[in-house]
Amino acid sequence: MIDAWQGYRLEHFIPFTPEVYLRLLERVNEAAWPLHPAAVALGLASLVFAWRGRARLAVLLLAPAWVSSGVLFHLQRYAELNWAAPYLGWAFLGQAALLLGLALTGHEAGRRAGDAPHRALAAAVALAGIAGYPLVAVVAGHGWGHAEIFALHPDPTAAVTLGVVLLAPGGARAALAALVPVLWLAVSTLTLVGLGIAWAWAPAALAAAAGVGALAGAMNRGRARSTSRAR
Amino acid sequence: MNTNCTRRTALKRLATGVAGAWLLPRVPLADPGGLLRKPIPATGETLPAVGLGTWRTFNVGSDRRLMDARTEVVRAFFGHGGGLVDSSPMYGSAPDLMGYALEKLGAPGTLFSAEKVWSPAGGTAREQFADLSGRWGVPRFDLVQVHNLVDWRAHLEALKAMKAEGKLRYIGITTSHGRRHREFERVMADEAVDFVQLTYNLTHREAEDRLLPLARERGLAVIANRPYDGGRLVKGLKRRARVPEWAERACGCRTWPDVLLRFIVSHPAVTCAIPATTRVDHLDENMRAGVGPLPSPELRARLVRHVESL
Repeated sequence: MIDAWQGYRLEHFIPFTPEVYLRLLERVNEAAWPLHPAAVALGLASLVFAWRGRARLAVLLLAPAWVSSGVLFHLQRYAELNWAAPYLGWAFLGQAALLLGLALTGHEAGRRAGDAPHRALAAAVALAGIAGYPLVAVVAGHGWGHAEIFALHPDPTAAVTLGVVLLAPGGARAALAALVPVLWLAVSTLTLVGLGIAWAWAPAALAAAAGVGALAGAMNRGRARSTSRAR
Repeated sequence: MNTNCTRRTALKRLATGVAGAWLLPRVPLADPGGLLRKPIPATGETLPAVGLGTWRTFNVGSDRRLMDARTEVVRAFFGHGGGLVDSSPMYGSAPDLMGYALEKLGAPGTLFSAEKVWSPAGGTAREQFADLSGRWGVPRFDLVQVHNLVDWRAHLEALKAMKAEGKLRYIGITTSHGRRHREFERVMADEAVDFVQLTYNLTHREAEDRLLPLARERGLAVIANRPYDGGRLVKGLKRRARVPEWAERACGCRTWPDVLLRFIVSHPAVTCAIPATTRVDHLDENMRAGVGPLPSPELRARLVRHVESL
């Protein structure tokens, strides 16, 4: 069995060329236009609500983004190229349902004092997803047609979600909401590395930054609990 | 062990196999356009030695821009007199693209349609055949292969029955990347197949040890996949060195793709190599390798030594 897997390289699992992947990004933009300003506004609104402690509303706004990117990208287009894409599409719809459930059953976190670095990092990850990610393809020389947009393309959608859930609900609920985004960013990184796309490590970098933010937040909360017990 | 091989079929295979494997491959034929043709040992029918692969390159979904671009590649292929086009249900929308291209261009008389059955795609061999036939828009395939030996026993039985019914002309098995060669060899030795498809190129020559000699012995046509190792071989060689002058002088090889393809199709057991490409200029370059002199055994050995030294 092991012998059967020897000799495989990452690109052997990717059944299309970089040109096709870049066209996929472009085709999603062609199909979604002119929804792009609304998509960006949705992401910004979610970030602002999360930053102000309106956690339920922030998470609620993420749910339609997972539906739209799951349908536009995975189910309608990526599924033509990759047999795994329908499963990914359904995972995105499942994530939308999860976010909706968390928003309806959660509580407003309010602004917590004393964890500014963690909040700043979380906001930076979300902002990178909203405003930074669309520039990546342009900087790499591919033009605006290939720009990846929150709520339309999966990578920025996952990045913004990670940032917002780090700002919004805490503990197990945040971990639950972060599971699919982290897994997707890992899958996306492997795909882009296999294709040799210039920004292949961007999804992993954003997931890593969110991980550092989560760790910093957990340490802050631990210190705060120790301090309050000591008092 | 093949239990369906009657004395008559065994004698027929022996006669055509001996003639095809030992006599005809030593005398490659050229068509009027100059394209080198090599015989299918089972029947003596000849095929252009350079075919067209579709893995990754023809999986473009329903994107009209890319579908039209790939159709131009198919047009150029048939313009050069090309024959064998190889696809699989594993290759995403590649079979649909072939249907689109053939509808636009019309199916040329030279087309030799090669497909595969692959269990993970779902359905029996007959169901997959019907689905693929509809996607290509052809009533039958020239060749259907069991992809990567997955469920080969069940699929081969079904393909043999379909061959007897006249729904396909040849059957085969495939492997790639040098995997499962022992099992592949057993199937080659025991089963009544016409074609085998395996990875063979200048740096992946494991097949020379047992599989290619066995193919000649059994009278099986050989399709060589991954002639450029997914493009890495051409990129790596271009980075390291130019095509040596002695290779150009000896067989007119001007580029590394030219060298790589001529090396493959000059092996007496190999019937056809199937490079895949997205570009018409690369297709033209590939097809040029199917015209003109092939490397001699001495030149082949020198090429191996040279590439290993780089």
